[in-house]
Amino acid sequence: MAYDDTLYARYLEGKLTEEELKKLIESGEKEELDRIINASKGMSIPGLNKEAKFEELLTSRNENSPTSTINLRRIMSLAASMAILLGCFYWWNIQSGQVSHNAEYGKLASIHLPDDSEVIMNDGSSIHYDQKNWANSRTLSLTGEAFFNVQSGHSFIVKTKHGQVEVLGTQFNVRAWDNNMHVECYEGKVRVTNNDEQKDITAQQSINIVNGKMESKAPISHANPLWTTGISRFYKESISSVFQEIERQYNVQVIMPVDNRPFSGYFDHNNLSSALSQVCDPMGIKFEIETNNLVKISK
Amino acid sequence: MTDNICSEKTFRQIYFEHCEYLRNFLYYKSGDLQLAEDLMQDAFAKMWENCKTVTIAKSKSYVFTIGHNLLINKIKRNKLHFNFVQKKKQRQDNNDPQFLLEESEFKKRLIEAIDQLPENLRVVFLMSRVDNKKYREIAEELDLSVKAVEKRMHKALLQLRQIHKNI
Repeated sequence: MAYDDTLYARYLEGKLTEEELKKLIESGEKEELDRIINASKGMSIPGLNKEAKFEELLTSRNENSPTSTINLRRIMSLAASMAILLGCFYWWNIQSGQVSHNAEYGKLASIHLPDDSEVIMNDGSSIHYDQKNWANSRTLSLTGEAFFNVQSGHSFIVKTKHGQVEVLGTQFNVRAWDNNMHVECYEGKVRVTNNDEQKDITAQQSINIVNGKMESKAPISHANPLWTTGISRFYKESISSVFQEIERQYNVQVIMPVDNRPFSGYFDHNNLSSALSQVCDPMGIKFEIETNNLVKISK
Repeated sequence: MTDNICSEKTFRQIYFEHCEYLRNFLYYKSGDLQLAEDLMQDAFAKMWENCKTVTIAKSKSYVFTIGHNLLINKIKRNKLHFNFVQKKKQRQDNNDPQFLLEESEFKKRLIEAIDQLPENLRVVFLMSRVDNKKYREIAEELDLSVKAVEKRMHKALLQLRQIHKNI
């Protein structure tokens, strides 16, 4: 048979005969191709704001002054290339000024806000803010967990679905996943608001919102949130939220029986099995790491 | 001619449908995102100037051809830069950090290898993998036969397979 010069291309579209496929598997070619195909799945280049680009085209058509639009274009592209440097997924709607940042699973992301305040996001977290309006109202919404080092100035507000945190210049950590919210203050003073409850906390203090109720917690002794140094620490948090954190940190799925006991302790971010021991051993439960990212917990 | 593309509504529709693909195509060839966006705009501007002579059916290949010609005059090859966007819900096949490290190393090598593909192979590969286009669509845009696109894709994959040997 003549050498087939479209074989791989047809494999990609799933159009091989059974016999061709069998040969591809036996020779090991399939495995190598699959790896290339999988790795190239996540490849993307920055999105294009079609609406804004089209408006630009309309303007240049009406004014018939290409030079001014080219300058505008250069500025926009410059901003776009800076986004690439940030190394995390970046989405920018030029018209509304809305900006979102996401930290990928298994990675932290460090972001500088327009006023040079710094945000370090824990993995799987995202923030969202209005860039245009930033100078007037320093407000952003957070899903997940992030550490803030805020430049002094007027109030800086972090909104989450459980409540909001308001500060002047300071350093603080907000954790707001599905069930509860946890705020730690490292410097200065922050105000936590939830429904109609309001509480101010100062350096080394922390607060918990569990099921809509505020609880003060033990003072913190570390200088920075531990997760920024590769450790997740918990104080009297439900064991299910600890496993949720493991799921995010290691990109796995944890199956566990109902267990509402509180857990105090920590786990490391560099090895799944030792992290599981750190949580399971003191609680007297067993774990099993199965293939395809599954972790089974049993009593 | 009644079915030309001069009305803003029609033109807008065509623009929204093809602009990103055209930009990507120009980017795959040049490696210069800014240049790709500029030439994309210029190509559409030019098509609008000549809108009376262009039908909807011809508009896609028309604007791709203009864009390509504009690029040929400008071309200065740059390195390609890609972001890898991890889909949020996507689970890895293996959570071992060593494996993840190898995967990210593999992706880095893959991008380098793609960058070094001959242009005609690179463009076909990226249109297929990044823009998720069917060979038929790629053939139409590049004015090739489907068979020719398949051959290029096969060759591209054949060359990219070499990176396994170097790891």
